[in-house]
Parts: sequence; structure tokens; C-alpha cells
Amino acid sequence: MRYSIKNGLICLLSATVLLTQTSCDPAVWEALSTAVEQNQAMTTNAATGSPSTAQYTNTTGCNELRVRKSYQIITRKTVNGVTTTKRYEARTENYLMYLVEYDANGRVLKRIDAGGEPLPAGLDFRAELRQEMDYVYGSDGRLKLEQQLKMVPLFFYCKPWTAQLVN
Amino acid sequence: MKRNHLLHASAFGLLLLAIGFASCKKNQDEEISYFTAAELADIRANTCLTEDADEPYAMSETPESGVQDRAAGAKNKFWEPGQTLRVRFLNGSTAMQNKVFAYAEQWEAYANINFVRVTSGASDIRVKFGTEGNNSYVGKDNVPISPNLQTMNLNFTSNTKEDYLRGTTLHEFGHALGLNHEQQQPLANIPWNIPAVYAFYQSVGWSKQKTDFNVLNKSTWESSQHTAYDSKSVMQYSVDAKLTTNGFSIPENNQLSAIDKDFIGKMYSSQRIRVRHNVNTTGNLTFWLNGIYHTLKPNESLWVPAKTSGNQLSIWECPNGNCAWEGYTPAYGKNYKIVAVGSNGNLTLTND
Repeated sequence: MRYSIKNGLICLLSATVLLTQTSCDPAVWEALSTAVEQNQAMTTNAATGSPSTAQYTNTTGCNELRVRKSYQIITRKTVNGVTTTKRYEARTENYLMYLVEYDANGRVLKRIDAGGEPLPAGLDFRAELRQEMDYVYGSDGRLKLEQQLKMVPLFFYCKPWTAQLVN
Repeated sequence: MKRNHLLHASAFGLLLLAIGFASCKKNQDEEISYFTAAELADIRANTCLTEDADEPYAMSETPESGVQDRAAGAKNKFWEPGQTLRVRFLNGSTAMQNKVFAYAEQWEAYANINFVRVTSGASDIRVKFGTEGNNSYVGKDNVPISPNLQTMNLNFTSNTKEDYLRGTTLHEFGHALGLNHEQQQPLANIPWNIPAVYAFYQSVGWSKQKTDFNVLNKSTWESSQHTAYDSKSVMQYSVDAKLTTNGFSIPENNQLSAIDKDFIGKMYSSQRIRVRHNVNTTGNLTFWLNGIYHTLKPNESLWVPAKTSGNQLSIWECPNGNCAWEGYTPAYGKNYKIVAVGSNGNLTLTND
């Protein structure tokens, strides 16, 4: 999957439409994610690029939650004057959150399990993500994920909850 | 409807007597008409529990002998250990509510969970008495249910027999705590007479789909955390001998089995270690820790109940196609990952 800033911006401009139509220009959307399923667009923050916590918490009704961003999550680590930058995409699947690390060309380097914790409805996704990133890098404060997340427009996709009464 | 199958089966038997012998039409009723009431009365439990050959993990033995823990739960649907669950009754007499809640609280004696009754406001489990059967959502599946709707139906009246009321309450609250049907856990292998099962449940108003969902479909390994099969579990339906191919039957279990108590205690224990699937493969991995089987998808990790010392963990390994349980003794307080080493596909447990 190759990420395109240009396509991301185009899609952002159409985000208001996304809110109600659940689809962007397919070609543009394909550039953002190669694995969009038949999910329902749930929320986006394209207008400001600064999603509120409240937007993250409304996962009621989702059996599976996926997160798509039009911008990358970047972590920077400086050791002995050498700065390492990594880019990730956060996804959730079957309640489990994981991170995908990309190289500079947008190729998947590896998928990192992010703890395998359940993603319950009502989740503060931002806090979860920060916690998981801390797990990946340790909790020494090297990450500036809070700030970065504010810049990251997130696109949530939701599969309707399929819970059934069991006799 | 939960498990009042013997009663229903009796009615079903009468139904068969009425219609089974009079029809030459080839249908399901005809297929099961050879079951007689006498057979139903005479044939009793005849354990026939073998491994499930349909599953990808044809594990032929438990890693540790002598383990008696047997029960099944839905992975990732358990609540958090120590969590308080608010129970609200939407209707019913005070006496009935008190009785049901008291039985539900039996789980509390073994699970690190706290049921509290609420009469208004937010709630986690909402019980409605009525004629919509006996059913519940499983564990955290309760969370997204609209607060205006019940999450559990109980079909009790003042005439409901006490044993049945107790067993059904324990069963449905077992679901609410995250437990699955025992007859559907991966290691269950009840010799169902499939046409008879469909016909019977059809006679009590269940569709084939509903019967599959509640009775016949087996949980996958990757969706389940379970022990060996426990026919005495309160989560096990009663099984009438007419519904099996060899007369195997299970009576109604109306109280918590020893294994129910042990399993729920473990699954809600706050003493846990995390095990991660870190093998470079697309396949699942199953491991066994202190009597419970857990299956991880690639890159998945799972908090699993552990003891502060003396943990016994085994991983089902198939180096060079020769599968066997490989034992480890993990220390409490550490997280582990399962990694592949060497060129023979052998697996190893390392600190994470």
C-alpha cells in the first residue's frame, strides 16, 4: 500500500460527503487503503483535523472497528544524535488492535501486535493507541503521539455489531 | 428456551407416537420414529467423547494427565477481572427477582466479579421475564445493547420448578459472564443424530439455523478458551438419548459443576501472564496453560490466567510434521512470546 499525501488531501476535502455517503472517490480511497471492506464510515474529523475524544468513544454498535488515516503516525527516537523515524498505521480487527509499520516507500515492514487487548465499545481509542505505542517503544516519553494524533485525521469504519442472544 | 429438553423430549415423543407411524412420507419425523419411549427411558449416559477430527488441531491428548478442568468461554468476551456488573430487572415480581439474583450470585463465589442490583440508570445486564425464551448475550456482547432493551430473557413463572429455575439462571448468567455452550466447545463430540436433533428442536419452534447456532455448531479453537469437555457443566444442554446415534445422553445440569467453578475462577483471576504469537507463520498456535487451551492467531497475544508459581504451559508443536506437546514452566509476572527457531519449525517460548 502506498500512501499519497495528495490523494489524502483530496479525500479530506470530500470528507463531509464521507460522513453521510460512506464513500470517497473509489480511486482516491484505494490510495488510502487497500483493504477497505464493506464497512460503514463512522466518523471523521476532516473539517478540523483535530478529532475530539468524544469522536473516538462512539464505537457502540461496532463489532469490528477499523481505523484509516490520511496521515501517518510518526514516531521519532533520537539516540546519540541519530534520529530514527518510523511510520505506523493503527488498525483494529476482531477487537484486537495492531500496528503496521511501514518503510519510507509505504511498504509494510511488519505487523506489530499491540497487546491483543479487547477493544470494547466505548473505547477511548486515542488513549489505547498511546498506551500501545508506549508498549512498543517503552514508556520513557520518547513518543509525542498525543500531539501527532491531533494532526491525524482518522477515518473510522465500523462493522455493525452482530451479537446474538444465546439460548 | 434453555435446557428443558427432557420435558420437551417427552412431548416430542408423544408427538412422534401420534404422527410418526401413520405417515409414509419420507421426512425427518420418519427418520426418528424408531426411537421409542421405552428406549428413551432406558438409555442413559454413555460417554463417547473423542477428539474432533474436523478441527485443524487434532490434539490427541492433554499435555498434563489428571487435569479435571473442563469448561469453555468466548475469547475476548470476558469482562475484566474484578469488574462490577450492574443487573437491572425490567419486570417481574420482587420475589422472582430476588430468587434469580440470588442464584446468579452463586457465580460470584467463584468468579472475581461483582453483581450489583440497580433499579434505574446505567446497567450492564438487563433481565426481562416473559415468553421470549431463556437467552442472553455473551459477556461483553452485552455492552452495545441499547439501554432500553433487555440483554437476558427468562421464561419463569411462579410455577417454574426450582431446580429448573436455578439451572436456567446459572446457565444464562454464565453466558452473561462470557461462557459458551459446553456442547459446542471444540473438544465436545456428542454423537448427535442430526436429523433427530433438527426434528426435535423444530418441534419446539426452533429453526434449523437456530438449532445450529445453539446446539450443533462447534466453536472454533481461535474463538474459544476452554478446557477438556465437561458433560456436567451448567452450560451443557441436556441431551436426550433419542437425539444421539448411540444412546448417549446427558441429564439436566441444574447446578454449577466443580469444573464450572474452577474455570470461571481462573478466567476472572487477576493473576495473568501474556503470551504472544510471534511465529512467522500464517497459522494459529494453540497452547495449554494450567488446564486451559488458548489459541492465538498470528501476531495476537492474550492475557491468560496463571499462578504465581508452578505454572505448566505446553505448546502444540509439529516440527517436521511430528506433533507433540512441548512443556515449559513460565514464571509469573513475565510476558512471553512463542517464536520459531532453527530450521525444523520447532517452537520456543521466550520472554517478550
